Amino acid sequence: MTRAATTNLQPPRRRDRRTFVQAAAGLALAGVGFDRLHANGLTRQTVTTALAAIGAATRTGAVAAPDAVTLTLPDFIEDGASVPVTVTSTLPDIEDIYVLADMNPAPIATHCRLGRGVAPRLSVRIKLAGSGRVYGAVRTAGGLYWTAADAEVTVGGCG
Amino acid sequence: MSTSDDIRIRSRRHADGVDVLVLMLHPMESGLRTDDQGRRVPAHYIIDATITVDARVVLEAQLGIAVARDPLLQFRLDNAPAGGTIRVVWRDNRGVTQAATAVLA
Repeated sequence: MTRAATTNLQPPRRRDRRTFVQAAAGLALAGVGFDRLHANGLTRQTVTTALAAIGAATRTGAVAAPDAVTLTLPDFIEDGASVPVTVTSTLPDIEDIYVLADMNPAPIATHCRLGRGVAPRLSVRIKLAGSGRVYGAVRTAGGLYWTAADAEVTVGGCG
Repeated sequence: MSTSDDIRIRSRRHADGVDVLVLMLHPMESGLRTDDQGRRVPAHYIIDATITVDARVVLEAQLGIAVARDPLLQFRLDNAPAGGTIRVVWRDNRGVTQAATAVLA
């Protein structure tokens, strides 16, 4: 498993047991036969479960923070095969940036760990299987802060 | 590992940092797609890419099947030395690794 997944399996501080068990089960499923959580095209892990799992090792866990995290994507997406996404944040000491999508076979599209001296800003082109919600999340020691936006996709990019 | 022409690195210096653009030419096949004859196209995608500046890691990108063909990463360095060496290394699910270096603007 990846280092992120290992981190996520540490005991949570302020999460109830059910959430943690769900998150752990999701991670266990995601890990079967694969070395990368997000590379598993067959997992039915949801975005909510994924956010909980990523945030499990932080103080507050996953928190919706539309004021602190900005997600930019095109208003209309003709071709889901290549969709430019930008995640920025006003928060200090960001360790990781995630892009998730709830219409894709696996919820986590990209995960980038930032080194020191890197601004909290990442642009990447992802595939979207259809219309749905795209999530941008940033992780600090304090929590996993996320925001979401609706994506209107004319032709899905999974095929 | 060989130095690759399939990795393009661009950087531009601003007042508040250096914008870096990394383009990696790769098919990024998910393994879920079928061709004209209905045959499954085998998975072929970059698993991760590590970007360093003067041997210090600045970005560790976990890519995968949901990243578009020819992955493009754009990020900003707050205070990188002009003339520093930026290096990109990726590896894919077939065990191939490629690397390239460039000089920072």
